[in-house]
Amino acid sequence: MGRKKSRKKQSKEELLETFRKRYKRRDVIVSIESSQNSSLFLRQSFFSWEKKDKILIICPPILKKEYPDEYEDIMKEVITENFNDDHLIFKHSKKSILEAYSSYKLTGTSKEIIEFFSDKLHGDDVNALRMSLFLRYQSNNNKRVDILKNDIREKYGERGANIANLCSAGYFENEFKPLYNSVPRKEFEEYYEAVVEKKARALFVHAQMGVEELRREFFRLLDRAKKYRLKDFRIHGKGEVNVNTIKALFNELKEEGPHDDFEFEKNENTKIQMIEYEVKLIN
Amino acid sequence: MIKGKTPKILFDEASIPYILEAFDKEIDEDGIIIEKETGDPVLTPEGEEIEAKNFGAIKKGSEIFTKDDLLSIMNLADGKY
Repeated sequence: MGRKKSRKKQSKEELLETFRKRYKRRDVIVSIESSQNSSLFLRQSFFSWEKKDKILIICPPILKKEYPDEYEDIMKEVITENFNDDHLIFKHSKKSILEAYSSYKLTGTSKEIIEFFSDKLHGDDVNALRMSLFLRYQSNNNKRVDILKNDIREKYGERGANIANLCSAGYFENEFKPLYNSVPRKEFEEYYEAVVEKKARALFVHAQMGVEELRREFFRLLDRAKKYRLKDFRIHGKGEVNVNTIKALFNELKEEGPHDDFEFEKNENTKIQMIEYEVKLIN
Repeated sequence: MIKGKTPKILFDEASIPYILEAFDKEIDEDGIIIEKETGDPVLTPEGEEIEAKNFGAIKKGSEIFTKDDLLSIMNLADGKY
């Protein structure tokens, strides 16, 4: 399709009509591909009609070679005609995220928690929570989430990353919401800030963290929990490496004998390779 | 296909200049999307400049340009733009 040698060259209007006949049909997508690795580019073809998938593919760099004086007009016509028909122009590489998010929305699973916090937290935190709930949904469905987590961190820094971790561990439903409903607003806000910003309530172990670093973080967390007068805090880990790191630390702490200021309890889910230690402060 | 929510046109990163051209936009020397005529940067609904490599979508509503990050995609799908 769209090869120079196989047919008489169409005029600009004839070519546009060829395109229109396809993209005016229901559910037809126009894919604009200029990458030198794209099949059209490699074949030196400027368009292809994938009838089965209903995709009209256009390769602008090759179109430019074939129609050097008219390619701009042709592209403008194709793009604006489709755009003006109230459609969306979207980056191909992010289409799967859009589709995944649209599916997630249909489940309605997070609607209630977002509605609850939408007028109680700062706007940025609400957005970080929205993103985190989707990330949790994807993670629970065994999808890759590193790009999504990156987006949260880029947008909202370490605070956002911590919100993502707390959300994944159920803190918003199981701790923040009940707390909001049971204490004065000011007290809730102080506690929330201590947990989200100061990370006083939970530590999420990551793969780059060895036992020595975890030990340092543990005692830092213990000090913070004492400072903010928290009754307990938790150490969370997911995946074999993180689970083993946490177990190694707590075995060491166990061997070091009973401690005056804390005691701990394990909660492990071997099926999904997840571990959590609840550390209770004494006195 | 849901108008305004399901993509009608998809583009790869290499096609970004052609997409922008159709809307009388271009990329400046710093890689930022600008208006061809005035040189003014094109802004997202949040008021942010858009680096061409982070350009994500255009939605009807008098040409709403968005980035390709997760929050922008979510806001698009939620009809916040």
